Amino acid sequence: MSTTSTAPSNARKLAFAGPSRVAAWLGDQVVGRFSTLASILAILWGTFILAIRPTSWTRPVRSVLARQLLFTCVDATSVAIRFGAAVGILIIVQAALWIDTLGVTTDVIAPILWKAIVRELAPLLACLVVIGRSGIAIATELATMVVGGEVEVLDAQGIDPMTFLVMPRILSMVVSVFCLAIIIATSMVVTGYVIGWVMGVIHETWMTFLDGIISEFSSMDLLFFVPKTIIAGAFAGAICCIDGISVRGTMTDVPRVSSRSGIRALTAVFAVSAVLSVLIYGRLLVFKIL
Amino acid sequence: MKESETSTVIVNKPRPKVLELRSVTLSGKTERTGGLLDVSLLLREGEMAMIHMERSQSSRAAASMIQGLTKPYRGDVLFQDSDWQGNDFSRHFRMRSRIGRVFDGQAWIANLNINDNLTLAGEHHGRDHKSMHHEIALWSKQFSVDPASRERPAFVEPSRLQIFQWVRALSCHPSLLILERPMRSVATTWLPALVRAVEKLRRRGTAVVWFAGSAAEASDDLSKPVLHFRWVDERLHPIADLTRSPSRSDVDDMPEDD
Repeated sequence: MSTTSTAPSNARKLAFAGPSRVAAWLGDQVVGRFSTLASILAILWGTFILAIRPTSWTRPVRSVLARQLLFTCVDATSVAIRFGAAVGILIIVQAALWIDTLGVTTDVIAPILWKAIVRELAPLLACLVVIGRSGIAIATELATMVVGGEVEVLDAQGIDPMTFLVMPRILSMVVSVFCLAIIIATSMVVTGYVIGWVMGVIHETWMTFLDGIISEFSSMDLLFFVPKTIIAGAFAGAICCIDGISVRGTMTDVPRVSSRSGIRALTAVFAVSAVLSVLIYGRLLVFKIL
Repeated sequence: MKESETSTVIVNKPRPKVLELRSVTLSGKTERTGGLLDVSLLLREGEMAMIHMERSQSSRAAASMIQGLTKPYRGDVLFQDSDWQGNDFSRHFRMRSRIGRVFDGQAWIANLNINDNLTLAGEHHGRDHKSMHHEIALWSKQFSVDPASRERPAFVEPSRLQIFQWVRALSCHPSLLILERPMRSVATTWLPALVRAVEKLRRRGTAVVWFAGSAAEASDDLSKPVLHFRWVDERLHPIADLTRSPSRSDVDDMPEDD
């Protein structure tokens, strides 16, 4: 009797165990993602509030920001130029192929390439450079400071780690992505022109080519370029800082946290870029949604 | 008549409280972390508590609790009648800026040089640049170290580094001075200089909590009132007379710090 009564119960448990476990896992994932997003937005909001408060900008904080800008932006200029040049060459090769295949002139291709560079490629490449060079370094530095007790030393002296450590680093990431994206875009265009001219694909003079690009530049380009660089840079900076500060354990945990932070920041940059593209273009892939 | 009455009132008025622990329980995370069990302590301006520890004990968690960095499991910690509760972090940071501390263990920002480390807190809290540098120079001269050192902490020998910690803690005009094993890595010949410096601050009204790593730190030159405690089994046992107490032998037997 008892066997017959418990059998359906067990069967039901088995039947429901799989789906309920999947549902629980999905629920955990969704809650986890929202929680991560909330903490990123909270850090960014805190950074904004601290940045607009004049009392935050004490001499040590200004010094940290200057040093971080030097490392993240100025020192990365040569890398950005090299990246831009390399991608510029790839683009001009692609342009030459399209011109041959489609039988169109450079006048048709140039605006498309220019928009692709300004709106998508340059911000994305700048984020890659900043995350690869500085984002991982920031996560490592902050994690080392936490594990080594340096953050406690700051705290004990009445120095807010958020003001002294996090805010200048996030701001430097934002400024650096913006500036490096301009440098990368310029490097792409210049390299593209030089290679195209040498290969005989471009027949215009530099001034004519430049005039063409300037005439192509519209306020819409700014609308794409500024939010993409600033928001993506802010997200990358916030993620690297959060990962660095929230490390628990010993010094051996630091490399793991750093590499994870780099991947998370890259993922966030791609996600932010995609979301902004959807919002700005009003399209999801080829479908018009807005 | 009125003047004398007024003066009498002022004389009888107890000195302001600086640090008060009310039935504090702090759980030690590890065996080395010094825990506290239902400990109460009151320090007024100019008073001093010397807590004698065993070599294996660490005062870091307790000192951090006094500064509001670690929450006690139970009880209240008050600094100048203000607690560390709530989310008013600006107030907490301002309170901490009035506490000087010699850390047991990591005490420096590794990527700043010694000079930047010494001036960091003062500059961040908007202290007058000239007076701050003047004070650092004075304390440094007293302890025979160069305050303008451009070396990073990792490249400075431990004894000098420890003395720089004294300079940093003393030069921030602290209302409360926390000394965690201040004689660690330092020759005992430096003790009288440290005691003189601490006494100078006490005369200005600074309360002092001294976590002593060695019995030798209980210098006779320290002016009264000095409350001596032995930190055993998570409790602070008062030592009424350090010279006569039976526990003195225990204290004497404590090994010297490295």
